[in-house]
Amino acid sequence: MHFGAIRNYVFHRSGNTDVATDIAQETFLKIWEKQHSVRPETAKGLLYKIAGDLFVSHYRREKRSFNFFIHFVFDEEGRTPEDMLAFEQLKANYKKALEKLPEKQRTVFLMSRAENLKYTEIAEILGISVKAVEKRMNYALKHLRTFLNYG
Amino acid sequence: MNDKNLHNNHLEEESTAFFSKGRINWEKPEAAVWAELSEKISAKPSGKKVGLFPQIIQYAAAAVIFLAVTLGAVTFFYQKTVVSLPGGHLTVRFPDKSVVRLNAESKIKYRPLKWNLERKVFLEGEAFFEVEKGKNFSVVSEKGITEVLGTSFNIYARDEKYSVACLTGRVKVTSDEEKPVVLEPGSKAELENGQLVLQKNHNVENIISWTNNQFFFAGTPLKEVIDEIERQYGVTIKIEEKLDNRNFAGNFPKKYNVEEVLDFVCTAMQINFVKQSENVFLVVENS
Repeated sequence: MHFGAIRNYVFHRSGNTDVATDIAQETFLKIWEKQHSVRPETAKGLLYKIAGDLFVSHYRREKRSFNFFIHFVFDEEGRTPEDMLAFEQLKANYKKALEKLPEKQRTVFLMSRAENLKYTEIAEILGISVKAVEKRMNYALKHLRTFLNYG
Repeated sequence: MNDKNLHNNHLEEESTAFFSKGRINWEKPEAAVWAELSEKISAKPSGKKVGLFPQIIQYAAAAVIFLAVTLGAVTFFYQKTVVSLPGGHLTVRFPDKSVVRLNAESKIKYRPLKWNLERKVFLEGEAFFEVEKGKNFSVVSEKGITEVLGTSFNIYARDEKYSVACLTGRVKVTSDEEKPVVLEPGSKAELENGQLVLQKNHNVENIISWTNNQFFFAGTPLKEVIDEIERQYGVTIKIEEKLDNRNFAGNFPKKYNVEEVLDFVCTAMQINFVKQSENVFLVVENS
């Protein structure tokens, strides 16, 4: 089933688990209604397309701030207080950087980093070329570098 | 450039390491959401399942309309043509059992599928009709239209000549710009100088004698007699122009061959005929 993948995809676009869960459910309800006219070979692409469209209309309705690390958590066992401090600092930097990053680049970046998807997979999901994925990724890295004090 | 790549590589490694330690903290695990979704789906009655049906009905409706239009067009425009060749007679039975007998070298056109709506025949040549009682029956020729109820009648429509003889029932004959003439049994209407002339108490049986392979002529121009022989035997007969308008009276049955018939006609008219080749004859004055 693609359900988990769809939910993750919307999460990386929205940074919000509630939104991701709602949209994933709505997406599957929609595809259920259309099931007779859906060909299996196009079903996966259609799911991402529906989820993306739903997200865009949802996103337009209520613009939420992108607060990624509320819902994206780390195991904190076995860390020294020093480690913790450095880690919190890094997290805060990423948070700020992700907030400022334009949505398109951010989605590509998160799908690559947090989801571990290959560029070809990302290109397929978003319906763009691999070149475009690379371009967005480069932009995202360049942007992050300034925020993470590498620049 | 190298510098930048170095930074990027470093950042790539670092960000990968950073995010790989984290996970999305879902409030509801996938299984729970999926169960919820299944409930919503089953709550939605399969009404949506028939989503395909309207499309099928649409296609079906389109197909039905297309078929109906095509059938209608075929019914209205499908035309049957029957031609009798020189030397041959033909009998054609219409869908309502009305019968037409075509004399040699005649042509009718009609629309069999539309027959119940409109009994209409286009005629070129000569034909004898026996019409079943029913709706209006009309025979259209170049020079005139004959309309009937159940009856029998003969129409001769060749070149400039148009002649209708009524045997039973009543027929109405109309020619261009002419007042219609109603024919009673035994009467005949003939186009003379553009006018329909009615002849009552005509021996109409002789007019349809051709249906029994008998040919009657009474004061008929020789040209017309020769033309009839040409048609009946499928031959070519040339005739000197000065002989055209001599009148001939007499009759012959078709069982005789063309030379016997020509001999019979020529003897009566005191003229001669020469056989020029197979199926070509020349009629000349006595020398």
